[in-house]
Amino acid sequence: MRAGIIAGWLTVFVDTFKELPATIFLRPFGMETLSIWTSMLASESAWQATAIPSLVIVLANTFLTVY
Amino acid sequence: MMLLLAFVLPLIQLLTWAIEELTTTDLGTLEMVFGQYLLNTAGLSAGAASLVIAVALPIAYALRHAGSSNKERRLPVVARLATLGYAVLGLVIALGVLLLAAPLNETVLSMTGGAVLLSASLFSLMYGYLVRFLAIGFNSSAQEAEGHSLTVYGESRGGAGRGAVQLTQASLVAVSQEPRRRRVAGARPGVSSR
Repeated sequence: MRAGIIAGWLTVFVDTFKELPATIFLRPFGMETLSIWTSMLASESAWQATAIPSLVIVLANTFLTVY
Repeated sequence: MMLLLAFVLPLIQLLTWAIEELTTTDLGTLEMVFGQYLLNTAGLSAGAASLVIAVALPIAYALRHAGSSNKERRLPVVARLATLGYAVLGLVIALGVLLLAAPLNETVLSMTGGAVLLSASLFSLMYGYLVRFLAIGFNSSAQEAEGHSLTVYGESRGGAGRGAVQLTQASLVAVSQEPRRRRVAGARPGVSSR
């Protein structure tokens, strides 16, 4: 029972961590997340600067998924 | 080979960019912004995950203990409808939540004296996340709730002969011996491992 809850919690956590469109539209004013930051930098063609937030997203999600 | 192409190469590119970026830019501003964004993201995700599980568990349990009365036989359909959001784009859900929140906004604002803002707030964000990701939380809780329960043995024993009991036991053992990761990966809508 507990394993299922933890698995579900982690899956939802990972999915919301990288969720972009719903977050952009529904976020409170001034609240930024890593995915919004990445998309903002990418829209300014600052490709090199997107590396840090996207790397954090990738590593966190990889760790949680493997775990 | 595929792993190398699809994961390792992009990761190396990201790593080199990140190292270049870290060595060339002013770390003070980056650190300030980065910690706040990371906290925001992790807090939102943790809240959404907890909310989704809190809503999904009662549904999963209601489905498991549903009787055969006329009303309760419709429960699977209702559960399927409730978890439909995962098949919809996040953008569409965001627009739906905004359309719902906009007319309610004025009422709630005047009722609470301007204290509670409905649209563009944590309420609407969490609601959107809930609609979008309920299927994931529901599927894994439902699998666990349905899983290796003693009542399955009891029902098969009462309803059928010995062969049915052995069949049920065999399938239950097969399910329980399945690797954990495959069952988690299978917890997606439409892809039920059972």
